[in-house]
Amino acid sequence: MLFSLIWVACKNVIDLNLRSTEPQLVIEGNITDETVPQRIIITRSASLDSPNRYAPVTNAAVKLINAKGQEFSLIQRTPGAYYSTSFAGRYNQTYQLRVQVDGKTYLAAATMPPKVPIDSIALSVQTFGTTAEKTIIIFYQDTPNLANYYRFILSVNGTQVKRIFTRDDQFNDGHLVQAYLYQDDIKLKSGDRVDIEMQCIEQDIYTYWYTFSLQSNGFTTATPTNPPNNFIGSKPLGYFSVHTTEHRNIIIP
Amino acid sequence: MHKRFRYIFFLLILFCLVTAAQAQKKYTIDGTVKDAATGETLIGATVRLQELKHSGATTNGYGFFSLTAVEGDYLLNVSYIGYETITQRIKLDKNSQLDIRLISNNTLQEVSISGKTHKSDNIDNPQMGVNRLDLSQINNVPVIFGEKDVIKTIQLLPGVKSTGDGNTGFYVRGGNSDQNLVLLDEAVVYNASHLFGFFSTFNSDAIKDVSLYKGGMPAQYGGRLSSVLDIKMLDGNDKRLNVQGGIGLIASRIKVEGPIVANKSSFMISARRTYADLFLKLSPDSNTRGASLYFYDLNAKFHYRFDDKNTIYLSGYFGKDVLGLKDNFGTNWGNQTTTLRFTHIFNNKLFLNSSFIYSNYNFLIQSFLSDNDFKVRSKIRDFSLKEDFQYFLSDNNTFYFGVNGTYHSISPGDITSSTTSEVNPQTIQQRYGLESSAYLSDDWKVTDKVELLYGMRFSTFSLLGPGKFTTYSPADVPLYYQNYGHGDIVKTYLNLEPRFSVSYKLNDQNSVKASYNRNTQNIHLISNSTSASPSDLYVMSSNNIKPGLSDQVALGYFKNLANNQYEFSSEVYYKAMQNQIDYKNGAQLIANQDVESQLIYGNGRAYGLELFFKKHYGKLNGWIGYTLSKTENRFDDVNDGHYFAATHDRTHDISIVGIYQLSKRWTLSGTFVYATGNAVTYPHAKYQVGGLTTFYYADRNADRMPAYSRLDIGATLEGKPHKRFHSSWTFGLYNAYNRKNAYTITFQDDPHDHSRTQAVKTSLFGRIPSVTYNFTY
Repeated sequence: MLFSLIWVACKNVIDLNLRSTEPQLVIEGNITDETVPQRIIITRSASLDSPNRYAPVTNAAVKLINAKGQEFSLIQRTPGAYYSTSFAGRYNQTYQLRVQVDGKTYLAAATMPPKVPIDSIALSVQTFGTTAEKTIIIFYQDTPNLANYYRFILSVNGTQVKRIFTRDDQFNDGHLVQAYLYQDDIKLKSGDRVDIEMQCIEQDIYTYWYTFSLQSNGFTTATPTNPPNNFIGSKPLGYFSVHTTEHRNIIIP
Repeated sequence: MHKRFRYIFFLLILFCLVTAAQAQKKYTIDGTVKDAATGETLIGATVRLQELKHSGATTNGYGFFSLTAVEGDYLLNVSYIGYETITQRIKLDKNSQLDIRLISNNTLQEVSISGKTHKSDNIDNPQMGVNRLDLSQINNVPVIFGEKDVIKTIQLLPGVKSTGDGNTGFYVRGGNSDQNLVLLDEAVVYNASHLFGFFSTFNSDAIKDVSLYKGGMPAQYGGRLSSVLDIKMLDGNDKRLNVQGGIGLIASRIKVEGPIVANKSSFMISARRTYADLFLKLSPDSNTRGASLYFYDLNAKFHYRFDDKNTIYLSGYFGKDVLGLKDNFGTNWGNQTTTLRFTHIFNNKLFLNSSFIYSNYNFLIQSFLSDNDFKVRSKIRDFSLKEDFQYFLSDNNTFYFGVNGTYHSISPGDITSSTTSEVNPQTIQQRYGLESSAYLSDDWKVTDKVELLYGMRFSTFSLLGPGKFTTYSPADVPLYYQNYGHGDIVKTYLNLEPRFSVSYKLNDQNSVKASYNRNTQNIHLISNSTSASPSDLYVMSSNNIKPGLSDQVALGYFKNLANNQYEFSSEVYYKAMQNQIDYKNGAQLIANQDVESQLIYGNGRAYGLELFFKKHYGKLNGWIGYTLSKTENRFDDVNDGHYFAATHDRTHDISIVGIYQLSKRWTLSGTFVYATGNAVTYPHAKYQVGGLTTFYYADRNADRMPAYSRLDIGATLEGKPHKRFHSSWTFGLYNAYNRKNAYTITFQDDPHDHSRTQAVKTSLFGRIPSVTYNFTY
């Protein structure tokens, strides 16, 4: 970071002859504490040189199973998107996801962590040379003596910031935390409308997003890996996350 | 197996003793070889009796030699690279002592000398896989920013690889960068790099001798799997005060040396500091002005010679890197080493070096943010005692034996913070270990043609209390834990490390050699990056972590040409490594008490062919090195347990170094390197989660970065000769044809067409000119 003050590393777009693998199954399941139809999206991966359009998997049988063992079948409303009836996930409750595609079954289980609400949102302005860097700060009161994991999602004027924000409380358990959401994807300007979502997530989902965030960190020389997920047995790509959600909006002054 | 080896070893020693006892009446000459002008002892000088074709001695690390021969009249011949050879008539009719002073050839004159004798040590000596670097050559090799650098020069040797631009991490015959034993005056240097690896910690002004052992390690070295880089500092001029310095683009250096008591005692102090931060202070922006970014180095040495038999040396190194942004964060790290040595000559055959060594590496990160301040400190500290004996049994047998012990303590990263900080203080248990070893080896000239260097190193490592030690299952589930008191032994490992090298001389110009060595390692670096990072974590062998083991066999053919002006060597090696460590995906390494639960264990193997052609002197000198090699690792949980290429597995690696004396005042130099790109993991598909395009990675390190190549050129202009004052200008151009070598390749959405993916190459350095002014007075 500091080196960029002294010399600017040079970036070029290059052509690489990349190998492609067979399309992989991707299951992305989310259950939140909002009373909405909960959604499971099933797609397949695409080769790198094709456009970012991912083939929906339309022949899946998708079921959610609650802590009492009751099964609920999900209905495909748009290709590849399977919806439950409207319900809110309950805290400390375990849910199972069962997906059957082409004769194979994929299983995952996840538990909703207790909710840590957003305390407040602030904006930090730092001046580097002649440019002012604006950074969103989110405040929350971490629960003491409990391992908490968080994920934040920023959207600026409706466009999601590509940076992945994760936090744990290894170093600040029980404190009022101010989390700086540093990012260089979308520069914040006066008048921008920013939506901030805070999620309380489970440890294995934290590891999933954290590993994912290391991939997109441009300067690392560490070997990138596929994030480990919480599917049991046959492992598709993706994850099954049962988490809390809370939104705040601000207009950048 | 070990029992049988010991038995053979015993027989060999017995045989040597018997051979020695049968010999005729013999006398011994011993002494020291020194530079006549500065009084510096010369390491590796050849002392021989001209009449005895195959007899001869080489000075040891302290300039000491001992030579035994049958009574008679001889011509004694003493030679050393860059010095005028001395020949003197001696009558050997009693044991005697000789102090030999050699006169340095001015490099300008050296060019014109023809038919100069040059030692053919590489033919005679069974030691293989060794490279001794000529300091004058290091000084002429062009490097980035004009900062001459020992480690960057080593990276130009066959069998030694770097991972990319401006990185001083080096990889020897497939070993990792933490598997090199880096010694500065016998003290282990843990992090041999400044500023994340752009510079090495070794200031070449202060260095006398650099030797790199890639294989066939002598038994006196141990503790690391892949190589030994043995660096010795200058003792200091004991004849007159000398000041030497340089002003460069990003750093300046100064060295002062001189006698304290003439011919008996001297000192040497050498310092270097970068000053990029001073330019930052000129910035109009207060944030930039408050930024700090510098490192400094200080080497100091003092010696006192009580008499011909007793000398004491005290040497130290202090280096520190500081990097930070005002009111935001700061980080600093550094090595400190101190070596107190005492050399004693018992008699003309027995030489002792005792050392007390302290080595410390510490690292601090701090945040100054209000409500978020904290400090993370980590430290590794060693105290060592070493006794090394050299016994010159006869003119064809030299024994090396000794013992040493090192007490390690590692603080893996305590967190402290103020009471108003949101960060909680945290203490991670310190770990203690005792590493000790004993060794015996013999350099035995069996016949005129066959020479053996064989020995055994017995090493032990004990992890010591106090503390709570958890044992994990292979699936990293905590099984049980046990508390230990102060000094309690948690776990002990014993290892026998056989070392064996043999040379067979076909004739004066040709020889073949073979070697086998086993090495062990008990200090392991856990790093998630290929560049040296100050946050790298050190762990010791433990109840969970087994000592690393490596076995290497090598074969070589060595040839000298044209009166030893040219040297050619070709070596093949195979190395098998066990108990290698990596970490799991998504591992949490910082301030984690249970870091041992985050590790995975596997094997490695490396093999290759190294070709080396060197021209030692003449108007044009330098070398060409080529390596064809493969390095692979295997971990059960990676790539379904198949072997995969290590990151630094560069199939082809070529280095060409040339130095050309254009005129009395101008010297030109050039370096060209070409290497296969590093093994890397590219995505093989993409998919969408969380509203973002993300990538699917198939097998680890299954792809390649683009090939690396670079040409550096340099020129040195010597100032007009003055009586005492001498100056020179060094000009350099790094990456002369401005090749954009890839540092990383990342994948992202095309900013012009969000539905497409593009690969983006980041390159660190384009063409970089440099100029340095050097002087000596």
